[in-house]
Amino acid sequence: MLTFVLRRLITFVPMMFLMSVVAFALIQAPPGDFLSDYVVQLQNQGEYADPGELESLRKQYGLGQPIYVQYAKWVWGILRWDFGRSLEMRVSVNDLINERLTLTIILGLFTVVFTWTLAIPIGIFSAVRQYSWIDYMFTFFSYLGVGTPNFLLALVIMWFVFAYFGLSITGLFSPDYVEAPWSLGKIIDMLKHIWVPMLILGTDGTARLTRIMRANLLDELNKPYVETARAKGLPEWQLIMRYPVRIAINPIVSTIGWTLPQLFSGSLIVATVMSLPTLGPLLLRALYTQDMFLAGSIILILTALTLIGTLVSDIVLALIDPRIRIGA
Amino acid sequence: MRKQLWAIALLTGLVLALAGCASSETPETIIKEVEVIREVPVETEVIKEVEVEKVVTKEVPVEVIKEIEVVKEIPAPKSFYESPLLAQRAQAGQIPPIQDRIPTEPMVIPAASQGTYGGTIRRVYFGPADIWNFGRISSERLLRWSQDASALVPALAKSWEASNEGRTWTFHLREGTRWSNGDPFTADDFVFHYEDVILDDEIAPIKPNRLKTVGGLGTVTKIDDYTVRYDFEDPYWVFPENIAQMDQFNGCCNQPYAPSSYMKQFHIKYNPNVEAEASAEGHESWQAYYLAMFDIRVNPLRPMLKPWIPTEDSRYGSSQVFTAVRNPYFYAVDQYGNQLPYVDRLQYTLVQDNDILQLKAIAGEIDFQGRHVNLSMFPLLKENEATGGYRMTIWPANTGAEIGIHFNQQWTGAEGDYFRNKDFRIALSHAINRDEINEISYLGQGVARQPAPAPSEPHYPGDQYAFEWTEYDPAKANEILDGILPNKDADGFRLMDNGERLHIIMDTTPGEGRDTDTMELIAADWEAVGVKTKVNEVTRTLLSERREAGEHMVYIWGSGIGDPALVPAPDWMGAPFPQTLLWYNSGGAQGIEPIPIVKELTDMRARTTQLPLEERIELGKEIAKKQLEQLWIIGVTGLSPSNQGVIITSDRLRNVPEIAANAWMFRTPSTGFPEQFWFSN
Repeated sequence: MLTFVLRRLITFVPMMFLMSVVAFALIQAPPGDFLSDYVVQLQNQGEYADPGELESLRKQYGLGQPIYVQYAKWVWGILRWDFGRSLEMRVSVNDLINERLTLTIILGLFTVVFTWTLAIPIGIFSAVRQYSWIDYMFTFFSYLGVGTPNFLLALVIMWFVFAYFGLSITGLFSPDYVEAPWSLGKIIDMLKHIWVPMLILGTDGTARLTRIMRANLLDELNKPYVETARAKGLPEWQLIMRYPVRIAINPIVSTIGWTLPQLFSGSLIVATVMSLPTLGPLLLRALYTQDMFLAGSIILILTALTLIGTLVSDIVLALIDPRIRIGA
Repeated sequence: MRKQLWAIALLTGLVLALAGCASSETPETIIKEVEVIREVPVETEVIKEVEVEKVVTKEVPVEVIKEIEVVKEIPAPKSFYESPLLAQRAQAGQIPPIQDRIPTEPMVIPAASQGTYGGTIRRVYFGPADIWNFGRISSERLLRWSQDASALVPALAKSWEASNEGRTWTFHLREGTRWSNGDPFTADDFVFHYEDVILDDEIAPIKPNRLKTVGGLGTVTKIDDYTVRYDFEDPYWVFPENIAQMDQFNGCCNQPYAPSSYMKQFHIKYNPNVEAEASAEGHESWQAYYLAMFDIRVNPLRPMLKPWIPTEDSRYGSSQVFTAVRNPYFYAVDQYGNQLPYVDRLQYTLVQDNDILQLKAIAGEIDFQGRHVNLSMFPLLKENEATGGYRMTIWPANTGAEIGIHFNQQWTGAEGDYFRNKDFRIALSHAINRDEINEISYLGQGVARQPAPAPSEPHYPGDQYAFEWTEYDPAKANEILDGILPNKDADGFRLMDNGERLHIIMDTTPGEGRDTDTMELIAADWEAVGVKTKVNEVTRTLLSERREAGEHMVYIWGSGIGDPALVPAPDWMGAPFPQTLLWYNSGGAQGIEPIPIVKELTDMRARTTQLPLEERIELGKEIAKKQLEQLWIIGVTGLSPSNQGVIITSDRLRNVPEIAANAWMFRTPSTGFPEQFWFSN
């Protein structure tokens, strides 16, 4: 077990390095650079960029230097936990990412917890009461959930809340708390807002997980060991929870690794539509404006989170399933 | 604005080419005629003697200067009032009393009605590149434009005058004006910025174009604490219009002054330790550090002269909510003696999407905003006026044509022969159903016209130029085209002489009221007369790259955009003759030598900067006429409010004018004087 974890940790480093190169190269790939995009954004409003300003920007950010020099400087900074300076926002990437990363992880955790607490019991229930009217109802709703793009759901809910309650539910905080430092009030304020995006982001996952859970459990329920246990007189509910559910849940645990990145990309449009202060919109914007240090750093952090997530899911799997532990 | 970029690039390019022509005017003759003109204004009925005036046009300059200088100012109020918030702070001794915070002769902004202090103007913004979202409404300039943009009015400078035939300009500052940190605003701020920043090749490798003439960079001299003089090698009659646009609050150079006593701590000449401090802050050099500290997005503490200044912890672009509060030292009052602005603060919420803006507006969460509000949102916003508690106002822009169809005259393919044929372009102009486009894409708010300057501009060449070839007449278009491209293929599309189908590719990018759907309408109109047309939507960056390389057949962009010099922008230099600018810039070594008419237009344009207002306007008209006659650029519709002219105003916000000049150069909504807006309860 320990060697397994260690081995995984060692492959971590070259993976990250590779990803940083790929990320940096990809961001450079489209024509133009940050400055040409900056000029374009000003032109979009019928304005124009002063040549002196552009020249001074080029100087401040060392954009005239060759790409590999820019890359080397960036990586050297990251080794000292300095992700560089956002070209567009003109502030340190660390400062920009910190709060948004926290909020992204909080929102992600809320969504995962919401998804699991809803999906697993429903899945179990549906499987055990297969073809009952409740199963049909859940099936109907889960197809609806999978079928509805969550950004559309976001728009519909936003419209609904606005039309009937006169509120615009965007963001994660009330205006008073947006720029305020963290406090108990701010946390409560966040809890008041976070359920809407949590609900929207969770719908799709809940529906999907319900289906997976149901299918997996159905596979297990007809197996001989279940029959045996039942024949031996084990109470039905205890039997299901103790044996088939533990096996059926394995594939779900193994998805932990990519839950976070999936929430990231899946939530991107929702977060944009709802103006959520998470990393997704920031990444989108950074890619759009070719803000390479910011975009590169976010991609790198995402990679790290995915790798960590996969590691965690492997460890959890090994813990809950003795067969895997022995196999390793 | 692209047009201005070109204008500037062109000017620099012409430095070499025109060095010889510069001195061709003979000053002696003008002096002789000065006395004649003096007699003219005494008889107030000059206007009637139109013909006489036209004959004398060349000698008018002396009179014109006076016209600029005579700017009516409302009698200054004697006693001054301030916001209760500031009165409290003054009482507590945190800031000096009102009379010590404002100039002895403050700028008087006439308020439409006397207001009460307080309130927050809520807006939305899209990030750091949206910097003018703040810069236009909270503006800081030596001179600014009046509401209808007919004249420059004194702002930070209380008066200005020209001498030495427009080579020397003197600006008089208001005594007692202070920066937002309380430092006095004096001529030293101009001299410091000029000598230690603009002249420093490390900080400012590119010198500000607005301080340049053919003869090079002008100089700045301090006459006394409140008088600054600019000297140029050549007559520079557009200097007031140009200095009124030197209001960048970042970068090195496009501003006439800097808060010298504050900025000196970041300059190596005054602070020998600055290198160490710069690297401690993570900057590569002290120059980079200086520039960062000058940029108010990075350093909101940098002193300003704006009506509203960023709060200490606000970072423009990265703050989810950016807040700017009243500047206690703002130099303007209204006619009642109330220190402006009336409104306490501006509050910007960062959004990523236009739909959020719309939603917020309908929910009544936007108090005043024209920026990012598209014309297409107008119906929905108008419908919800009552629920959202706001009203919609239209400030039409002075853009000659939102859609200018630029034909590449230097296209080397077989199509080029047709693009260079004026009759061909006339036919395609007649083929466009402009009224339909105006109704569909501009809600009928635009005007079907060629890219002539707006009629409100003094250099408007006349209706016959603005509306020539604009009537929708497909029969006439077919008739002309039958003469040029008589053969058609099986699909009914016209064939070129080499037997290939004429297939026009129209490069476009969405923005500034140019939707790709609109281009599809034009393409359909052209196909109806047998000209196969494909609309090619590309990103803005790619569009300009293709244009610079001359890879476009037909290029869509705005044209006939208002210019401070009151002469047409050199639109012919961009898309119609893409290789010409390079020819000028390289002294003829690269690019393609322009055809005579282009040379003539370019020379005329270059001459304008040295002419006083009236002569300049006349020459501007000539340029406009000559250019429009060529029809290198077909205009579709213009003068619509599509760029920042559809304005949401809270019902509670007072003194917002029904109409004000709308253009980038005027820094709209600055022309509505937001300092005098106020909230009623």
